[in-house]
Amino acid sequence: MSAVERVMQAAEDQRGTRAISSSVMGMAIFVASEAIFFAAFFGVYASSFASESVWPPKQIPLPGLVIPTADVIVLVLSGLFLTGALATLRRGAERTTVLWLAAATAGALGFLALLLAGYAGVGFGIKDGIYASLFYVVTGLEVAHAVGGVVLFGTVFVRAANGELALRHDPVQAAALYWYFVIALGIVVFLIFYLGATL
Amino acid sequence: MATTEVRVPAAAPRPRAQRILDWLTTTDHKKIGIMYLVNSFTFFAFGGAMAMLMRTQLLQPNDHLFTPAEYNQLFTMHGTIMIFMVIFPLLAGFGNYFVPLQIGALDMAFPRVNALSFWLLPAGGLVLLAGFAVKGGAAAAGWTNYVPLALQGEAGEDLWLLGLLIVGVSSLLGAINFIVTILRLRAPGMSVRRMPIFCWATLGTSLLVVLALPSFTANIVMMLADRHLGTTFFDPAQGGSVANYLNTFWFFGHPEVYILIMAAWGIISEIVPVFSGRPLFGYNGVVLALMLVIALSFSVWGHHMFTTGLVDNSFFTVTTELISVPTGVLFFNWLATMWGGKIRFEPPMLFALGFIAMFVIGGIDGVWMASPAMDYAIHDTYFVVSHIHYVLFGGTVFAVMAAMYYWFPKMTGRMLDRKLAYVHFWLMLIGFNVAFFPMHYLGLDGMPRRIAEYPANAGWTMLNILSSSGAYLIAVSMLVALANLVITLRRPRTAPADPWEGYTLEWATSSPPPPHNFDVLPPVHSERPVYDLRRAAVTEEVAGA
Ligand code: HEM
Ligand SMILES: [Cu+2]
Repeated sequence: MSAVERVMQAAEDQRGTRAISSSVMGMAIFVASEAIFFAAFFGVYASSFASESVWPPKQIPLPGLVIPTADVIVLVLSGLFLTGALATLRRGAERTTVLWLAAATAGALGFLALLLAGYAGVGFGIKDGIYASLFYVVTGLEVAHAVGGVVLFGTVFVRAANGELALRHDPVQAAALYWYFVIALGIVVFLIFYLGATL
Repeated sequence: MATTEVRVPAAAPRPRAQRILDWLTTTDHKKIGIMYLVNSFTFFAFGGAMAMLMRTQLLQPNDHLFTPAEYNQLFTMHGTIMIFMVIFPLLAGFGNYFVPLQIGALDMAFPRVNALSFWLLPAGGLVLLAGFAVKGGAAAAGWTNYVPLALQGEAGEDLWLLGLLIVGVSSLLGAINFIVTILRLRAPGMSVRRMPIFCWATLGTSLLVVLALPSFTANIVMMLADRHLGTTFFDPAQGGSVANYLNTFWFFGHPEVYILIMAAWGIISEIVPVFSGRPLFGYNGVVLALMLVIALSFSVWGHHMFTTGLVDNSFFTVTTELISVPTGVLFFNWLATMWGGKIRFEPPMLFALGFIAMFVIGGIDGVWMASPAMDYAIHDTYFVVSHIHYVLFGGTVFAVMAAMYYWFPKMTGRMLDRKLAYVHFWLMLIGFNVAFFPMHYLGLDGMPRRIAEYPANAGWTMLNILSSSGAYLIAVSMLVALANLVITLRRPRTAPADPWEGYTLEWATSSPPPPHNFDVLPPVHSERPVYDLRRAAVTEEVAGA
């Protein structure tokens, strides 16, 4: 270690462990950009909604509510498990953390499966106008984000297996931040595309 | 405290293949910064060549060097490459090299992500260029990629969309990296209030990228879906709307122009004080102005849509005129910095002065166009072309050249030749104005932008000849700069650590810096740590005598 590196390390130590880590901060910024990304679609949704006299236009049948409702419940559950994982991690109980994480990952997989299963009950195709366009593209992006979450959890498991969790908590925290975003997204999509359109 | 130059002991010469591999696999922010610059200047040559071809086509009325379809590809790819592959990555390249040095860090926060951000860039650029090789040619809907043209394009259009998706990921990762680096890796003593303005500007640019770019990504996703999946986001006949296109594009598009200029302002705010021998006038005011520009830049996008009837013109006029105020503040701060200073007209300062003069013209053009009454007359004419070049070329490219002359000794250990620099400067300044000033008159006279031919009796011939001659002169000036580069790189490394009597931490380490950046990190007590160091050394000497 050069003299400079020692100084930098000292500065880093001074900031202490309570300061948020680089990876958590990086993930927070990434999530902010994701929010803008989806806001663009919701903006298009809002302006289309405002300019059409009937919604959804073209008299297409609305998607059923049963599977999507179950889906959101599973999604929220995965979030609760994740919160459990973060709490045990703070206490230093890495083994329990891994269990909670496994539950959260199972929830994520369940969410993904129900998301895909839900398409079977949709009575319109992607070419059926603006509502259909928004529906398929936004839920498709949701699927992609769910897959991303599962992959992220997978890397956390690899790190946990290597015993890294005892040393640093930020990989779990960063992955959790991402998943909380997916949960928020899932709820908004449910409210807008399923519940909201039914009203 | 010692500012001794610590030279990296020359390691035993490594085999060439090994050295190339070192560059390809590096995660050192300095090497990555240099690769950014090399990549961008290469694309600058491509984009510049396209500009020369366009100006040759317009040299005389009814010219048939290119068909209108080919001409459309040329201006589309020229604009796209210059904006996404040249200007932004050039600023990011300087940011990569100098932000960690200026804040006294060892590297970026995520060095491997940094390497990824870089490598995505040439990848995206090649995808863009590949358009010329496919059936139907490259994208041809302009850099703004308007519908319905963009929906009708062939394979080249898809490559355009794909290329910019890749470039977008690169920019986003880069921006996140900059923000975390600046917020977390500052050296002891380097509070935000002491941070060099270039770092503030890079932070601001990165915030703009994070908050604006995703709207463009969404726009690209919708475009791809409309083109290939049968969705109807942008098709009014099927319940979509062109407004969906315009809003998602320009919500990104206007902040984007600040993405392309803010770091240039940062560069000028570094160079003007150093070569005036004074501190920057109104440091806090400058920082505040940058923050105001960021905030306001999200409220002005409608000024690109005045003539569409889709937006509230009065609202967007007011916000647009408002954003000129912080821009003006910067301008007056630079002037006040020079006021009463002992100005040294070294090459970096000349280019900085060129920047200030040209940027004012471009800014005043902007204020004009922000009045809808004016804009109805000049929208989509050569007036707009003049404006964008006064801000982007007269602005950012001049600033990039200033940065090049300023920081080249630090990056390579070699001073660029002064005489050639002066030749470069004057040719570029004259060429630029001869090329772009006449476009104001062409625009006022109604010459539309993006046309391949104009009639002989329109009365536009003389001004177009003038404009093309200016363009060729710019090309000559670039060749002079290239010659300077080649000659200088063959000379021995003689540049001192601090050739300009600089203020900021990059001047406290050797030229070029060691891989770990600093052997000794000076204490930071103000926004000019290296200046403080020099002062302390002088005082010590006087006291000792
Ligand atoms: C004083 C600040 C500025 C004002 C008031 C302003 C105003 C405007 C307006 C009203 C337009 C639309 C003109 C039209 O299409 O009819 C425009 C276009 C444009 N501006 Fe600015 N501008 C300013 C600064 C800048 C800066 C700093 C940049 C870039 C560094 C820039 C880049 C552009 C570009 C690229 C376009 C053309 C977009 C296209 O291709 O349609 N502007 N500006
Ligand atoms: Cu604008």
